[in-house]
Amino acid sequence: MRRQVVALAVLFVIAGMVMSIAAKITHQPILNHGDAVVVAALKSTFPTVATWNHDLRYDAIEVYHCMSATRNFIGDFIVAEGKGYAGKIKLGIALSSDSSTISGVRVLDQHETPGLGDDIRLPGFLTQFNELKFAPGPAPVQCVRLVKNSDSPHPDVVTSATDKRDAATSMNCQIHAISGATLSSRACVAIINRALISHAKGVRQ
Amino acid sequence: MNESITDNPSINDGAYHEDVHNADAVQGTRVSVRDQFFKGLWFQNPVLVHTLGVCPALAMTRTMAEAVAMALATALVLIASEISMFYIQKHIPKTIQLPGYLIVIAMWVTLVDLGLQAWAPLIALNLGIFIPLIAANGMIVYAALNSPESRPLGDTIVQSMGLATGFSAVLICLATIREILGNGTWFSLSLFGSDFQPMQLFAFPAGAFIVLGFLIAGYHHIRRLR
Repeated sequence: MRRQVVALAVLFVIAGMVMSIAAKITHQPILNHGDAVVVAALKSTFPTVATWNHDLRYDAIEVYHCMSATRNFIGDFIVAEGKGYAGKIKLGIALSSDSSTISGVRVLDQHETPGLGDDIRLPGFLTQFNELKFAPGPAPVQCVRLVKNSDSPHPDVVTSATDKRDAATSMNCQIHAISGATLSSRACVAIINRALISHAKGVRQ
Repeated sequence: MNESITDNPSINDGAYHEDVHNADAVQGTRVSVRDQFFKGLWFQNPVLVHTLGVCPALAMTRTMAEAVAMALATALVLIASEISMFYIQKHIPKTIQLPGYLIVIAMWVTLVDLGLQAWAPLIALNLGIFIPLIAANGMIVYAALNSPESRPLGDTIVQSMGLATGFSAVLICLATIREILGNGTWFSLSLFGSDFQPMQLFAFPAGAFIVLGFLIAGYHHIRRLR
């Protein structure tokens, strides 16, 4: 019995030491990688970006003020996070230079359910935000709205020209939830709405 | 109704039954390197014969990139754990070998997880929870519990490489079928142009179950023919 306890204890200590050394070695690269993920996302949403100013912070969001090689302002890249279904979700939101359109959204970190909620990182969900025009307003107005697939208005319902225009405008702000992952989809849209409102407030100040 | 595989006369006939249990029968006798490798790859394939490691095989085969990353991470943990255990198992009592194995497997999974987060962050982001879950992969525990103490290090490495290759081959087959049918792509390269209408069922978990079922059926059909 004593030999068994000693053997297991020694094994625990050795394994613990190896893991501690590995954690120490990888600590700095993992920290650097956090910035690298943001920069990679920023470059994928603003392909012409050359420099950015990272000193801006409104409420709980970080803002990267992005400039082209010719020093023209091309838009803001907002890093925002919030509670998802299974943990924290961190998103990168690229805004056009006039802050009226979302150029794209990237998932920087997430811990959602594999095979369901983690589909928020896939193009099928994220491409819905590309070039998405929105109407910013004070809280609790929603800039972007989440709809389930079955909630989409049927085209036959729209009759008059005004109705068609209204429907088109509202459709532009609508994002379809992922089937089976409504809570994760809703969390993403809530994070984006909070970020857009904070950004609008920050810009006004 | 409840006829087991061994009760089925059509399966008992021929070399099929003999092949499946061949590896167990020859334990203790010296077998060639090639036989040891093919034992894990084909005759004792962890997914197709033992249905071990099915969770990552189903969840991480939506795209080829995910499947290859998962296969490499699992292979690394399997081979490293087997080598570590080869040296450790002589020094720990038999009664605590299982907890000993689990500590070693957990250690290697942590090292792979930290390494991926530090130097391959995008792969770590895509594989997500399935990297820590390698520690609970039945295939690795199965390999650890089935490695006799007297076996030389070379045999241990060859047999773990066979198991890892068998697991990887199944993941790659599953991912190839699912990505082509479910997305019309392979390694994210479009194969059929923009007019292709993918069968999205295969991109969902239900599609993974269906494809794996057909793979297992096909495997046993081929084994029976031989």
